[in-house]
Amino acid sequence: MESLRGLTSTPASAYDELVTGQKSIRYHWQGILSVIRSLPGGGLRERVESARRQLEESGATVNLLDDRGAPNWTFDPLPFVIAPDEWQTLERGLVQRAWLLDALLADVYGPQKLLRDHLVPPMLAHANRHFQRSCKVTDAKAPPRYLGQYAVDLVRLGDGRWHVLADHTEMPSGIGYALEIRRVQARSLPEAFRAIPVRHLRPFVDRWNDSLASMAPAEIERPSMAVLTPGALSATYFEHVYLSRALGVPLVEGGDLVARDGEVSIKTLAGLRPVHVLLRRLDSAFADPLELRADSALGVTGLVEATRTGKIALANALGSGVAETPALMPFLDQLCQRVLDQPLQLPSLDVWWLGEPTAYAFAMAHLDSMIVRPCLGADREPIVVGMLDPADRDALVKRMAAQPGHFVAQYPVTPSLSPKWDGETLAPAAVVLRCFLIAEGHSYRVLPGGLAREPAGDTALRSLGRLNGTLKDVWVLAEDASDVQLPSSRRFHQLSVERGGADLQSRVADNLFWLGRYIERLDNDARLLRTAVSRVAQGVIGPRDSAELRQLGRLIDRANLMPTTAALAMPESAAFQQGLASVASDRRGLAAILDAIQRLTDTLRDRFSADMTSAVGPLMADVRGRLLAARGQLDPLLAALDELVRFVATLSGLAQENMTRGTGWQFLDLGRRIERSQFILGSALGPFRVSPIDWDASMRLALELCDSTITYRTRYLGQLQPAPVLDLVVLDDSNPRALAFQLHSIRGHLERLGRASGTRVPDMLHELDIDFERMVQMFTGEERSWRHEGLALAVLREIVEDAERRLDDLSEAITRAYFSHVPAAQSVGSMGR
Amino acid sequence: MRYLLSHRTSYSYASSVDSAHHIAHLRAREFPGQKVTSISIVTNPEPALAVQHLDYFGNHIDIYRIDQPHQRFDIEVRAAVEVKFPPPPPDADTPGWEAVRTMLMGNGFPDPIEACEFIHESPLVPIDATLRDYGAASFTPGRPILAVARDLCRRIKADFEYNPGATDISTPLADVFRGKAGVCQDFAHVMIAACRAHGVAAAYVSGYIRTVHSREEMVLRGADASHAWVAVWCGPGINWIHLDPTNDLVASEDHVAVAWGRDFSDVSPLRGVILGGDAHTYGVAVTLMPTE
Repeated sequence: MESLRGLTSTPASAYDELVTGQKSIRYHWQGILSVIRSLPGGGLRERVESARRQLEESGATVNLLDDRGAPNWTFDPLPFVIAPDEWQTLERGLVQRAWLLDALLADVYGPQKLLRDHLVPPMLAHANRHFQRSCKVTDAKAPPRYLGQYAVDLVRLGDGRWHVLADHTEMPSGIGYALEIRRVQARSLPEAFRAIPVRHLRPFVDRWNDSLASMAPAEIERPSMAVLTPGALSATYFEHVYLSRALGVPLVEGGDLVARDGEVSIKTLAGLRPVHVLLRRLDSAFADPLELRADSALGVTGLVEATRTGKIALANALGSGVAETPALMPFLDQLCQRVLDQPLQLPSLDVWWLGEPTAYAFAMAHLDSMIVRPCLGADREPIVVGMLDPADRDALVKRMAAQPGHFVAQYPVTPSLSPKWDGETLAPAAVVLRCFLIAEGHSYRVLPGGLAREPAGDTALRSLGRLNGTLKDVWVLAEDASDVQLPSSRRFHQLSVERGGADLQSRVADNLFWLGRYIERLDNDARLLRTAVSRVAQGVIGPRDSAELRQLGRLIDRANLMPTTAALAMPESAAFQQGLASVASDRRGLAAILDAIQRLTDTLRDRFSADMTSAVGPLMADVRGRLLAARGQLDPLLAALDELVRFVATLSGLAQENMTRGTGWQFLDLGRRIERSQFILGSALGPFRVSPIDWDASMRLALELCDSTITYRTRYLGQLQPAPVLDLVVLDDSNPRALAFQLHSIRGHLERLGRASGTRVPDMLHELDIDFERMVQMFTGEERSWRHEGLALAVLREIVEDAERRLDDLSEAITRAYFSHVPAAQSVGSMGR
Repeated sequence: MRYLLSHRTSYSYASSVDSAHHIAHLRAREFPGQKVTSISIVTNPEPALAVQHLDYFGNHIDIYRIDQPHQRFDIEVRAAVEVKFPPPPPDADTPGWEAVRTMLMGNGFPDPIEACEFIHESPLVPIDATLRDYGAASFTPGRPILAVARDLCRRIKADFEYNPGATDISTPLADVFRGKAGVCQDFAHVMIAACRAHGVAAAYVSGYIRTVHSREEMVLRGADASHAWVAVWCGPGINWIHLDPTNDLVASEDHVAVAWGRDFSDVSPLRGVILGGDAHTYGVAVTLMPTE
């Protein structure tokens, strides 16, 4: 185990980032240390807490979870500082490496001359899981660039030199986290940024926009770009949303895109809108079910063919992951000399590719002190041979002997030590640096910053490509202050003022519409249950309550919130009361609606402001907790239902105040209004549709369910009569809970959507006004005449049923007109057996 | 031998298909010993887009997009092909299989790279101990590579039952091996796996085989299906020799090749992604008619 010491302890050979051999603090660290020393009050501790909270709220810690479902990284307030001259050297080395790997990919997917000339072992491409044969350029255009983006993990060894630990070329993630961590860092330590010339990150992001635009086909004057994500379940979805915002381009999923005649377009409300460059965060293998993995539901059918025409560029190009195998590292020196005619500036860690007999013999001789990694398949988890039990070791040796070319071996590394905040004071910790590059013109640009991390676990190698452990900001110091304020090259003239947003993706419109419906459904169901629970919770059920509860039981059954037998049982019975008390734990009812809302808000995260997202998450968790805690007991349930109604009110308030009244909001509100209309017709007017009618219960419930009891009392001093009750809940368009108000809003939305998108939905509701007028009219006049008027009720039932039907038709018409209501894609023919 | 070929595939859908993309490996390519004198493909309905490319392995692919709603898709290829695969050298003139393996390993840098590509696992041909052990009886020390390949062919034909009902499109190779039954694709995959497990390069070839010998017979026999076999790399100068484990034959004049790849998944004759359609059925009719 001697040789493993480097993994678990802090050996003397580690390079110290902070202190020189002569025990003096290195010059570039002095600024930050003096800032920390002079922090007032709670010092760094206070700042850390607020920063961590901010990161949680922004969602940066979401999804990136460890196996146990906990966020797998935490923020360290102490940045990693790099001196200007050292950064320049690093920058040159990184740019050269990007060049080299890009050239390698162009060859692997082109003439394969480097493979033929014995510079790169051919199996590193041929047996590599990232090698996409359909992307070979045979008779079509080559992508303008393979690596539009690139990330590198680096460690500084005892000799003081940076070495490459890992290359990330398939989907180099982390930059969104770096940008977010910088934002939080700047807010938590503002005095440091005033005192120290730290290079800014924003200009890089502006250049990135240009970089992507420059990959578009030359003839396109105003290229349109998008971030392609696998969706909200992706581990790095936060970053996809973040990048789409930072770059000011839409976030799209495969289902939002269609490929036709070599062109790729986004499905929007106004039809197909061409897109020319995709920042790809979707695994190449899943990008096209036609020519790549047929079982992918995430891709775009025909995308590979579209890339052949050169009308769409992907960053990175499909199949770029070939270049990230560590097995390439031993060959890069020679490759660099040959391809770029210069020595490789940035060394890699020593890696032995076991496909070479000499390397294999060497690794076998030193196996117990080495780390072995599969290097071509999907699983590339490093194996610390010294820690294996004899049986596992034998199995590994057998696998290596059978397929030596599928493995690399290397020694454990001892990363340099950099100060971190351990909660009390500064302590040294191992550090791995991740740097980011983007293509720019004919070269590459390096983000003057990055992510530094103290890897979780015992070795830097084990947590290689992951964003885990402790993350920190990277400060690249400027030569002088003038270096800090780089002018942005962003071309503002490219943006034309746009309002209305007919370019809203159909999928997003669809999701917003349903979010609106589910939010409203939650509100309705909570009110319905509250109305019932409040009557039962009083203890003694009087005859009036009992009559109302019977009606409510029917409505609750109709809304599918309780098992039918319980809902229709006598209100005094244990079955009814227990059923009611346990609605909170019924998976079909409230919980299912909350799940749907959760799913939709997660998916729509990129449409909402950060404030909204950070407010909704905790509220949602709180409401769920209360519901769960209330199971079986009426009083806490009543409180939880109150909470639920308040939650919906908060959600509506946030949407009301934070969303622009664009098409997105129109769909959200349209969903709500349709759902509320259906609630009024089905639930609030429900008791009127039961015969024989219980007049008092019907009228009281109609008012209560439409939250209009107080208005009625103020207007009519409490005397219940059908005509004024129906007027208030149906015809009064100043009452936001009345049917007329909903219909009015729906019509307004449809009108505006029709204008914005050019697609109109026929007004299916317009005669309803007259019908409702007529309906209420039936109940006016002498008390005697309406009380025994079965005709009036028959008319009411008929009109209400008709209205319900028309609303259903409308909902379907909206779906057909605006949402990409395409049937699911399926593969035919044989992918093989 | 000259042939006229017609290969028709029809999909019928339970409901209307709104749009469809298809990719076809139907356009026969040239091989050493095979010339394609004319070839054309017709589809119904007419595609909105039809493009041709060469794929990674040098095969022809045709990509179609159909925009109009349809409940049936027909695609037919007609070709005139001339084949005479060169007769293989005597077994003894081919190198020992270990020498071939050494060449293909090349200490990490083998030549030629076109051949060494075919020693690795591929989507439908995993390399495992079972198939290596099965192959071992043929891979005896010092045996010339072609003798090994012929022996494998013979054994597969003897050991496996030709039974179209035994396997379907998704039967994994391990199950084929366990059941010792299958169709030409399965036999080809078994042979490929046995070769690769011993470091020998083997490719999957899709095509047709002549089942009739005269025009009159053709009228009677009508439709046939497509076929598959194996090409084994037998060393520099000799290169690839086509062997058919289903019939225990070395290809000469009865085989017409269309495309080749690592396994069936690289050369699937026709596959696609459709929107709508629900359930589908498909039919294939192949007529390979000798003209001399």
